[in-house]
Amino acid sequence: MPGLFENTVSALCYDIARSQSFDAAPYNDVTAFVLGQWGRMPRFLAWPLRFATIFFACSTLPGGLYHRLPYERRAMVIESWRLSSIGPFRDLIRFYRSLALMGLYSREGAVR
Amino acid sequence: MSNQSTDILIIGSGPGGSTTAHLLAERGREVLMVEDGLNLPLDSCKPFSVDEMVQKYRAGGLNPALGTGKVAFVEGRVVGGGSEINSGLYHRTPPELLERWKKDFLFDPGDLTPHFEYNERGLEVQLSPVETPLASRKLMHGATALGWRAMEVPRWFSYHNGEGKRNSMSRTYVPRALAAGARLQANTRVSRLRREGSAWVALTSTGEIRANHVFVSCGAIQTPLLLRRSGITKCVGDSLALHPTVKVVALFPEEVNNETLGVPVHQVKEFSPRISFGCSIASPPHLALALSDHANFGPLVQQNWRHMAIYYAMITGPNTGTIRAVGGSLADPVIRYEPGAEDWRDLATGMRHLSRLLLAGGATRLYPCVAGLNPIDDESQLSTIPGMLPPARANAMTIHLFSSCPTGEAQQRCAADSWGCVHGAPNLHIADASLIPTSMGVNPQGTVMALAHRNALNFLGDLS
Repeated sequence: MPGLFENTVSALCYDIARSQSFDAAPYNDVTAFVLGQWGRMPRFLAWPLRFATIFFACSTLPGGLYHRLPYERRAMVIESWRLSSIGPFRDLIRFYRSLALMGLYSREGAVR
Repeated sequence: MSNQSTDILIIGSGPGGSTTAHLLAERGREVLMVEDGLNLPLDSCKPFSVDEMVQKYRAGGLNPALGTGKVAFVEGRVVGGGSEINSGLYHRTPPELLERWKKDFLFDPGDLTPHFEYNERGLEVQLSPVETPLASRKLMHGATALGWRAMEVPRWFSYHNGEGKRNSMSRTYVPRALAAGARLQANTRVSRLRREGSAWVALTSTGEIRANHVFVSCGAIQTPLLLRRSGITKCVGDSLALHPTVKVVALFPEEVNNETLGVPVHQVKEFSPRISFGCSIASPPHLALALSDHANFGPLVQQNWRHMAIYYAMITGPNTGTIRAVGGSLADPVIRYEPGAEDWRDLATGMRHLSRLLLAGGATRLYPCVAGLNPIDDESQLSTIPGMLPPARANAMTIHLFSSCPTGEAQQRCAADSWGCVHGAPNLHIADASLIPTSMGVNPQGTVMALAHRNALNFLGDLS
């Protein structure tokens, strides 16, 4: 059963897909790719990343965990972290964005 | 768990390991080659795809060198090593480098010509007999317009019916080694080496392997990692060199890209060895990634990808980094590489020159892959590229890593002697890019294989 980490990654992947005007949900394959890549990372990077992701998920409290927020609110959260003056915040979003983009644009029919 | 023994153990099956393995096996020596990755054919997946990242890249390709400005890099982890995932571009070692190595590292490899020629025959190194991609030729157009020095780079490719296929190690030297009686054990990680009498014992994930001679060929990151875990630390993992690289996406009025673009083959060497320019993989996923710091990049890629290609400026960074093992049981190395202010200035200069080159080649809009930089439409806007790229936003990367165990007789700075034998460790050899004494400024595989060939012949007593 997916936990907070997996749900957050999944929500991020769906949000990044939507921000690219993709209309080919579900994106479970993209989520699986991103989670798989996390599993292949060096452990000394993977675990801090997992904690950072959970911190990200909780950063929207008390309004609700990230993945339970409406899409518009989630998109604003991503954008604020992406443009943050705090390097690790930017890096977290860059990491997920990069992998999700690789997964999304590798799909059949992603481009004309 | 099982225990084995062999005369010669080769750890790693990339260009250095495979060159060594097939030569020794063909001379009748007993060779066991072990490889951390899987034994997969070259065409087990589409080149430069997400499937390739999953199947053939170490850590899925997610390896940052830590520092103020992170430099991302990739390593192969599959039978054939880096040759299975790289671009197949071939250079002989530049003569000026050999002079420098002689002076600074007391490393005089002698005449490498026969070693280059051997590998060039073995891998069919040649210029493309078919028309090169337009995205690649755009570099030549720009260089011609500016009067800059440019070249088509030969590759280790064979061509049938107009289609090129990379002569990676899994298609060339690995099968030759096996045909000559060598054994290959894939999916086997060596965690440590220990000395027992005159032999070496390798501790692996499947048991112990006792060998009279060991060649470590795990690449510029994994080789020093294994040596350091084995207690061999002198000049090991202290001098990692690489080629920091930044990218620019160019938009052209005509179509320059398609589903089969593959690896472009031209490089511009006007400012070489300090700065070189080339064309990169430019599939839609790579374009999306490269453009992700620009506004509305999604529709841009989706609608214009056939008119776009990715180009790079690569510098010969003078700095070096370190490779360290973290903890006894953890397998991952910590890599520190800190480009200096001079590097970030060179990268900025490289990006400006590259932009000028692409505009001269007919690009109508350029997208620097640096967060915060705006698109460039003409030469007057080149000044928007700062004099020094901001380290945290430059998205620097590299695919060339070397020099982590330099070869030479200068014992205060070299891990191995002039023949690749580890100083103070009898019968323990290195055969990979970690031997290369300094940053090269060109693709290193030709040098790795020439040195491996030379050192293997010397080991056999066949070097004339």
